[in-house]
Amino acid sequence: MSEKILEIENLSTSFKTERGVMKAVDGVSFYVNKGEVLGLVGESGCGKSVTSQSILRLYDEKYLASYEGEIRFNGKDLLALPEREMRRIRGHEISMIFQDALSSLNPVFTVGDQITEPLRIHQKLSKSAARSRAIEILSLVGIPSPEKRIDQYPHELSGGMRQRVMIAIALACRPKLLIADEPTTALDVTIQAQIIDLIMSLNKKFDMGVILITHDLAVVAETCSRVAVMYLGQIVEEADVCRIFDAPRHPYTRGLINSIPRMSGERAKRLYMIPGTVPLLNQIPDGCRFAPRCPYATESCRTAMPELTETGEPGHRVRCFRYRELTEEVSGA
Amino acid sequence: MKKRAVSAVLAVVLAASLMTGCGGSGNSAPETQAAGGSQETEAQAETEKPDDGAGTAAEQGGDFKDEIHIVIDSNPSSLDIAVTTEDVAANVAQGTIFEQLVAIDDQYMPVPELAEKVDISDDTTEYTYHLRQGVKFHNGEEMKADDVVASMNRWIEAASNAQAMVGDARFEKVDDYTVKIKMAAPCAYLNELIAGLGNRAAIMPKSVIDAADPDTGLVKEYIGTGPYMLDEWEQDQYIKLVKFEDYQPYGTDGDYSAWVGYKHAYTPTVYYDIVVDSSTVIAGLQTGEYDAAFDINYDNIDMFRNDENFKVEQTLGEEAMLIFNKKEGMATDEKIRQAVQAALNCDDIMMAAYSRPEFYELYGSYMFKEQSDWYTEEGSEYFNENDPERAKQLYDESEYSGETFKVLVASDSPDFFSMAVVVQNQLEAAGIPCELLTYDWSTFVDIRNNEPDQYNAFITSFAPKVIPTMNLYLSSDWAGWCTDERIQEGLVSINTDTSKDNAVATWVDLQKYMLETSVPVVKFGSTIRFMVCKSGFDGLGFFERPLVVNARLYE
Amino acid sequence: MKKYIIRRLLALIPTLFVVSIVIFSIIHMTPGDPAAMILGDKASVEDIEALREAMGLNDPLPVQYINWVTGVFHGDLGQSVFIDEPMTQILKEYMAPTFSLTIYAMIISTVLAIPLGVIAAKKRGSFTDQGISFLSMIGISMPSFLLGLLLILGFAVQLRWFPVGGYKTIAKDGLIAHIRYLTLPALALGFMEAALIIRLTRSSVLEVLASDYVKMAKAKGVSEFALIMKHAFKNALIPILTVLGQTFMALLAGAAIVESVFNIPGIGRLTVNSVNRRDYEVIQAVVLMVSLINVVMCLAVDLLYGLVDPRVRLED
Repeated sequence: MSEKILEIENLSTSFKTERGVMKAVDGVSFYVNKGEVLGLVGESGCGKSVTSQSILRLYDEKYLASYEGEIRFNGKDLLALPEREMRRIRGHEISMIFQDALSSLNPVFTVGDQITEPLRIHQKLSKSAARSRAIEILSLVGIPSPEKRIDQYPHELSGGMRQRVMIAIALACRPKLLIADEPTTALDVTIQAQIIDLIMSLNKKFDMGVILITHDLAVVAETCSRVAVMYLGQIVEEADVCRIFDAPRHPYTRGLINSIPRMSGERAKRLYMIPGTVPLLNQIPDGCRFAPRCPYATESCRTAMPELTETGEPGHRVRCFRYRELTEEVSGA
Repeated sequence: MKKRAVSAVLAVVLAASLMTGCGGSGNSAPETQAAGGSQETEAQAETEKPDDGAGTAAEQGGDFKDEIHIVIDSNPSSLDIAVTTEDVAANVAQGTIFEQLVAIDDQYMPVPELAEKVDISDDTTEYTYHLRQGVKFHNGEEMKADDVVASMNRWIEAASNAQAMVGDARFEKVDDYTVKIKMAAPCAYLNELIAGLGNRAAIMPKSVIDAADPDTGLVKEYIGTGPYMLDEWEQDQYIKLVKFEDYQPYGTDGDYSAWVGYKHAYTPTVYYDIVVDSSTVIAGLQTGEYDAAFDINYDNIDMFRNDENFKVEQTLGEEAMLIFNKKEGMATDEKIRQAVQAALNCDDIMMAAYSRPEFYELYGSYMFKEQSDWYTEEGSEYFNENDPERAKQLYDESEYSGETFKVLVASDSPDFFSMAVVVQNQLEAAGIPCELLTYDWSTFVDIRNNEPDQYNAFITSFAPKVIPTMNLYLSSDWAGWCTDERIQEGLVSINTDTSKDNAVATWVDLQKYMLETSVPVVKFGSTIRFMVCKSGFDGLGFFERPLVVNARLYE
Repeated sequence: MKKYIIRRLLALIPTLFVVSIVIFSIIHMTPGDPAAMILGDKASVEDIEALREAMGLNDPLPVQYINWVTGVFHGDLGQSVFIDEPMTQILKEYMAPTFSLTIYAMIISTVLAIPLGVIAAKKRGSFTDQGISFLSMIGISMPSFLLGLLLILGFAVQLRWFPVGGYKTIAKDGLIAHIRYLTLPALALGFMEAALIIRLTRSSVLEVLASDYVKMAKAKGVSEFALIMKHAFKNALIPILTVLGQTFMALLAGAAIVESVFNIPGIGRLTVNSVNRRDYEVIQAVVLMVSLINVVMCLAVDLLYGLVDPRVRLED
């Protein structure tokens, strides 16, 4: 059994908005092992990004967000840390890369400025030392002629290059955990693969834990060892990657998997679509949150909230009243 | 909600600041302290009780300030007061920088200033001026006949009014200290003209006149013989005069009246601060930055009357008038002019402009009450007649009946504009359609002078004139174009009559004719002007303008 | 870069040419003339006409225009009818107070307003933020002459901290007097622009604070102070910079009113007076100069833009 580097327990994140307090993440628990790649999947708006940004406490706590629960990183509860110590974690022990590199890189500072910044903050490197480290890191993430690139501005780089720069920034201080929030969504397919490969190679090289947030199950299948599926601020199913794909228990997970286009089999068959859309946070249904879109929902699904329960198989948890009957029904069909 | 809170706070702030801004004790009854000096006009004597004799301020003793600040409301275009007729230029320069052969006293009588004496031939065709000797110009030269001849002839060229009186005659040098002028016809009031005309007969060195700008004719240096010389003119900021050390006072010490007499020039430095915004003038008086200001907003007079730090002086103002365009259009018809005069209620018109009866006077005489020689009530029954029915009848009888009467007025002058609005109302009430043409000052002057087809009458005002013939509105070549033969003949006869009694008799007849029949103008009323100055002032006169030559400001 | 500047300046010439024709036509077609103003209200029509002739005001308009333009190309901006000084000297003298005033007001509306806007953004929703918003709301809704009069009543008449009006030059009366005389007018003039800039800065900083790169910077462990001062501010400056050029011109234009309230002999007063007395060549020279300043300001803002925002490249 490998060591858990991050353990999240019952995390809730709520936002104060003009229409009242909204709970974007509601009682999420999962963990990441050292050196492991965990996939966090779900549709847009399901709370993946909020969860990941809550780990680093990136939301403004004074006016906007409040957190509940526990986020233990190497045994320390991040939610209990004072801001000053939290700053020492960010970019140093836990790093994050965001979806859109163009908007996430500061347009008015050079690439070099932005890579050296965490080095200067956390490792207190001198300007020139930080610069040579930055060049090193740039070449590590596969940027050609880094000495030249380092003085360029983000808008002068291509999309893939920018994503590499962001990874370089995130890796500058060799963090123990990397949160990659849809790192490839904004890129074209060939570049996507390169970036995923890069993240995987760095994961192996530095034995760094990775939370890969994505809605692309194909990527998950290739890269992750375990997967957590989120729906409307909750985890609905968690299992290792083989089990998720082979024997998904939750109707939502099943829907997600069915909606992946297959390279083999009947091409004429229309892709599965989960009916309906993700409701807004202020329209959260009572009972099972997926019930309104679930083809198997019963009256009891609509009134009571199912707990995340162990299925019996190791590490497999699911949030559904009917998962047992459904498993039989599906496999029996 | 938020907005309402803002406006509420704003209102409170405003109210508070306005109340505190008005300051003052507010408990003493309105009273006006009169000037201590000798320059009280009869207007003052009639409208208030002057405390007689040597001023209270003089008894305070002690030191007086070595600079004083008088407010003027605009930047003069030039201080060449022989050429420009702007009042603001004369307010600064006349009697201070420049002096004249003769100047008027507070009885509107000409008194020799740079002349020792004036000999007038019995037929009033020849005037001989014996100059005072040893009078120095500010540039150190002595004033001699050549300078006087050059100045006086330049003045004649600049002033068509003067040309009308002297014809082709010009000043000549007799010797270094004597000049004379010989006219073809009698000229009974040449001295009055020199003393009191809008173009001031300022005496300057010949050298300065010779160097004048060939285009505009304006002199480039302001050098006179007066007790003050121009030290600095910061455009749009101030005009600074300093005492001319070589100045030789004339007359007897203590004998100073209106613009003429013994000038001490006690205060070494006099600033004329150019302040455009009237609220700033009031605030500056209150903070003590300015020591005196005149023609301030009438609404503020009471505040200063109630403030023991200030005294309020008053003097004759001007005659506000409607001048008919007798060159073109409907006002060329006597009947229309009579109709307009009959329709008007002058009390309402003056009230609209000056807000309180004490700020104006109503009487029909064209000459001011104070000018006792010329004042007459003849024809006054037609003044302020306020008879719309007769007006309508006259209008209907006219060949122009049905046409709209157009009144030209300058928008820059709120007083005149208020008058114009009332005039319009009253004419329309009488059944005479009336339209106002409102323009900025420059445009107003341009249309008034050059486009007589545009309008039938305009509104303006005139300072008191020494003799009736100097009244510009009776001139045949100034806007309005008073070409009525009987009036013009009457004016010539007054100017040339060697007997003043006869001349006055002619004027009395003429005024009756004008009010009854010809109606070249409609007089609305006479205004009163106010000056606010610090109560520590002694000898600061007020006659058409603040007179600083004997002023002392005690702390 | 140099080429760019030169090209921009060359493009100025046709602009100025059009401006000069327009202004020349407008002022000469307006009734009224300087001759009547020189001689005064009571001068006779004949005297005025004679002076018009002598001054060349009766020449056909195109002739007058060509005479003037020829003069301008020879470096002669013309001659004031009323002020007996070379035009460049007049412009210099009258521009100095306006420039001082405008710059002072500009300082108030930037050095004061930008930090206030940043503070308001940082403490959004707090009492401080609401106070600043309130202040800026007053600033936006109060006309400068009214504010000027209130300032005079409060600080000059009541407290006597500042003079009611007037102007002192640095050369003659020293810097302190200069500043003392310009403080109230600069406040009156700059307050409204300050209010606008406060609001702009606040919303601009708020917008930037919500951006991904600020979040990214926070994820790197950047402190909140550096977040605002370094990452947010430089970006927030871009929209602010755009309005600074306009602000300067607005202040310059607004100076005319404030100058008359506070009795400052600036270019605004000169313009108003010159229009009133139809001092044509002064009006033309002032308009030319102001157009020039406007273009130079725009250019300066563009250059500054390039300095702050690397995405903006001034093409050669």
